[in-house]
Amino acid sequence: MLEAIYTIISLQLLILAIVPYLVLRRWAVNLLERCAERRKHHFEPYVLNLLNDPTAIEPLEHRLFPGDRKFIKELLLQLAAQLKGQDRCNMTTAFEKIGYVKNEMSALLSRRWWRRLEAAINLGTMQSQMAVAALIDAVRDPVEDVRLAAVMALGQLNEPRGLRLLIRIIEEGDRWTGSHIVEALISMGPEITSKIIPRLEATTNINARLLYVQICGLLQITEALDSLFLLLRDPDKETRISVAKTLGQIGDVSAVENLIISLDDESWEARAQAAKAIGSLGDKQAVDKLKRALSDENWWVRHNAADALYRLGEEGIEALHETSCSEEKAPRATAAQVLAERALGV
Amino acid sequence: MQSDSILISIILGFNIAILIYFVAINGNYFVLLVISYFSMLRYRRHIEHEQWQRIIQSPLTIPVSIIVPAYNEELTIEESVKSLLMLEYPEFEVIVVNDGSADNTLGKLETSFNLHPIPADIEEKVPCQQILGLYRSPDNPSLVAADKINGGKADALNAGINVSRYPVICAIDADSLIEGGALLRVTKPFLERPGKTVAVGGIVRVANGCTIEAGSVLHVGLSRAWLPLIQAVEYLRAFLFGRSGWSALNSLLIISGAFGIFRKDVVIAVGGYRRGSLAEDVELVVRMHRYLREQRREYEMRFLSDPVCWTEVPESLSILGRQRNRWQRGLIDSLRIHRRMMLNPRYGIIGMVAFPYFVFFEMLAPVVELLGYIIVPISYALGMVDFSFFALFLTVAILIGVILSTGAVVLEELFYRRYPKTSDIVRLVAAAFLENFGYRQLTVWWRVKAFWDYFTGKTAWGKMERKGFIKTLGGRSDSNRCI
Amino acid sequence: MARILVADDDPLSIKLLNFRLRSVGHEVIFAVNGGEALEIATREKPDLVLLDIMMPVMNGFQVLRKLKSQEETKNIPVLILTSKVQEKDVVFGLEAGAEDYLTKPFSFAELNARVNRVLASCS
Repeated sequence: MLEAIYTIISLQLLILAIVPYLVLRRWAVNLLERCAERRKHHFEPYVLNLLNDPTAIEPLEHRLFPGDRKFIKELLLQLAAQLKGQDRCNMTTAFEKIGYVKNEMSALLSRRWWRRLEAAINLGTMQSQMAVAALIDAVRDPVEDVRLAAVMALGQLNEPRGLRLLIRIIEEGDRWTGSHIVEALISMGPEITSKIIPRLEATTNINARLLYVQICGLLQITEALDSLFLLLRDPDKETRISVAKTLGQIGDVSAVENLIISLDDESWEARAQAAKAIGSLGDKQAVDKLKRALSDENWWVRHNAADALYRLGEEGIEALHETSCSEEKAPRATAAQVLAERALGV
Repeated sequence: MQSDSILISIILGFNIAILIYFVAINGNYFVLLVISYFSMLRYRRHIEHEQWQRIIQSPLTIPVSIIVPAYNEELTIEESVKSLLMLEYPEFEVIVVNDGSADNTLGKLETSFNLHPIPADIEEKVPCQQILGLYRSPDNPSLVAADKINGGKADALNAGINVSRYPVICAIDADSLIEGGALLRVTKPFLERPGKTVAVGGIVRVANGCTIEAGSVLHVGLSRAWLPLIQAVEYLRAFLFGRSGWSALNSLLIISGAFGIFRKDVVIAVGGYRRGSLAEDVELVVRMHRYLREQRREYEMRFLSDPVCWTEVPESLSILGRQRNRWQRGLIDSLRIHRRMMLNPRYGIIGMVAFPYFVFFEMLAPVVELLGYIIVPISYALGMVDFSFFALFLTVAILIGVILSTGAVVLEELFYRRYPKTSDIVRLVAAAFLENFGYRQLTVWWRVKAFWDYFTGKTAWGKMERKGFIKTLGGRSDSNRCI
Repeated sequence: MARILVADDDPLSIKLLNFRLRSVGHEVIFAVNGGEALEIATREKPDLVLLDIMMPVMNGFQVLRKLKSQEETKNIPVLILTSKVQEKDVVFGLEAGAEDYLTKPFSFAELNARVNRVLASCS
């Protein structure tokens, strides 16, 4: 028994020994952080000047201690994240000249996964085209976080090879990884349109198609309208819901006729999204149909229809007023609430 | 003579059983500590590099309905709601449910936020008392206030669910202060694993000692008084290894009502919060586990240690005692209601490991501990056990507790470092000592008394007192929720 | 040329804006939270306010509303800086009285253009 007590007590002392170490470490870290702050302040003017003239980095190189490199890098990356346009391009040039890009590209091969993760993220921030090939390799990394970071970085680089790869991943991968790719793709902007539309029609993978539909909405790709109209009648419920939402986001009034038909869809989500989309598109021919949708059994459909009516202007608002005096409880309550909310401006 | 020796054997047996129990419970804590350490190590790397700027701009974030049940909160409701409206999140609504307050809670809200009544079209998806009115504010479009007949906290939460529009709800307490970036962090699992995640809990930290202005925590600090300081360590222990550890095993049985996120469709499917429950947050989570397992659905409930909710803790012993009494009664109640899950293989790891653990090592712990503190010293005094046994008992009962509490402080220092000053850590370690030499024993007493109160039918909540958000000193408060 | 108040809780953002605005000749004063922003704007009456939305103590919208409702400050033009790209926030800000908005990350060309335009139209 006594041995047990001794073991426990020694364990206790061992753990307690960690505490002074941590206290000292904390004191030291606090001190170092204060020094680091001062050093950072010292470098800030030089770093900011780089925004005006990227070649100014050369004189800077010579005065650097190893610890300073880290500050400069951090500072530069933080600044880069806050900029876009010509200034960002200037920073990219600066990064390439100092050698950070090469540095991070070799870090992509590090054995520690968090270092690879950091490298992928930094390469995305630096937006240097030199790193494309390395990032494409990193998309095959065994660790999920690194793969995602590489994908997002390729999105920021806006490069055709990267685009092809991302599309291939959508076709292969599962839905969840796909949503990050959607973000990466939309950050590339409208240039990807010509690649997306053929995939939208050709793909047999339902999940992939859902992602393409989503992208069409987020990038407002009007060229995809015809394909989308066809998909609005697709047997898959999720597809119909997603297409209805997308048609609202694209903002082309020609979609209204098709959406009106969707107000009779068997899925309430599809009906609700259709009502919402019609509201965004603003075509008065929908007023009667929307008024009928106010009697839908589902709360969301009624609510979105009421909202849409309000947005359609005079005729819509009049329809709402009529319904708010109707005998049926549900449409009356919905119309009344939406009228009151809009009147307040919420 | 015979009866004497039988008596002695029984008492000896008790002593040994108690010792074994203490070893078991502390052994379990150690295991949780180790699991938590490794899981935090992995998690830290993930969040170090997370680009929150990108996520907040993402069109894919899920909109959240925050529900704040309010009863007699006129002193603090304005600050709470203001701080919620300032959360950094793309799309969310704040639903304040005035649960038939006797004071001027609703009036305060109306004036502070320029509320106007609107006709309410509310579908009752979960049962609740009648909602008398709905209010919106033209200055704050994300704010919705609902006025209803008093029905208790669970009922108010249900009303909030009925009023809410978004697919994910966040239940919080009226006196919680949610940090600006916490909502973004706590909803991340819903983005990462949308099909599986059904509930996420964040960490609750002790606000006493922090500088708070207009509902924002400007500086983190520790209270000068001992009681809140000890509670700070207690909360660290409960969350950093209790919740963390169980979450890593996907057996999280408790998500704090002070800051919990749930998928609305699942909450509606199980019928919402249970009216009249003493610990509606615990009861809901247990019921969700039960439902999802019976449905054989794959799901995940997680605890994340980086989204923070700050809360005031009691600074006086009497209020603290009432609070712990209520928590214990709530725990007993929730476990009793769902007792069929106990050791039932149908409920997987929850039924076979988590539930029994909570019954034996959380619910019954105070009883065994109290017996231990009585029986063992008496046995030693009467010479039935020798000194080494007694010393071993003391070591296991008290000293190991010190190790565990210090362990919690170590975890905090290694991974989070929310307390900026070096002196803060020293004080936390000191509090870790004190926690086990007196404070813990006091909570044991309160919790045992709760058993008595529960079984003699006391179901009231007890009186609440609120004195407004504390600045750097003082302030008295109570919190009506389970930790 | 003009006196500009920059209100943002992110110190780097302030430094960046400070640097750029100074380099084209403006004078810059700054505030790190909503409360300070309101106080300084009322006291110093700058020619333009660059207001971030997400700030502690009082967020950008609240400061904007207060500025527009106070007699001394209601004519000071406000440009809101927002990292939220939600259309409704922008609309909300403009309806609350802001003259223009700028989304973060921004380019300096854009910043200069908008600042100059707002200053010109309000002088």
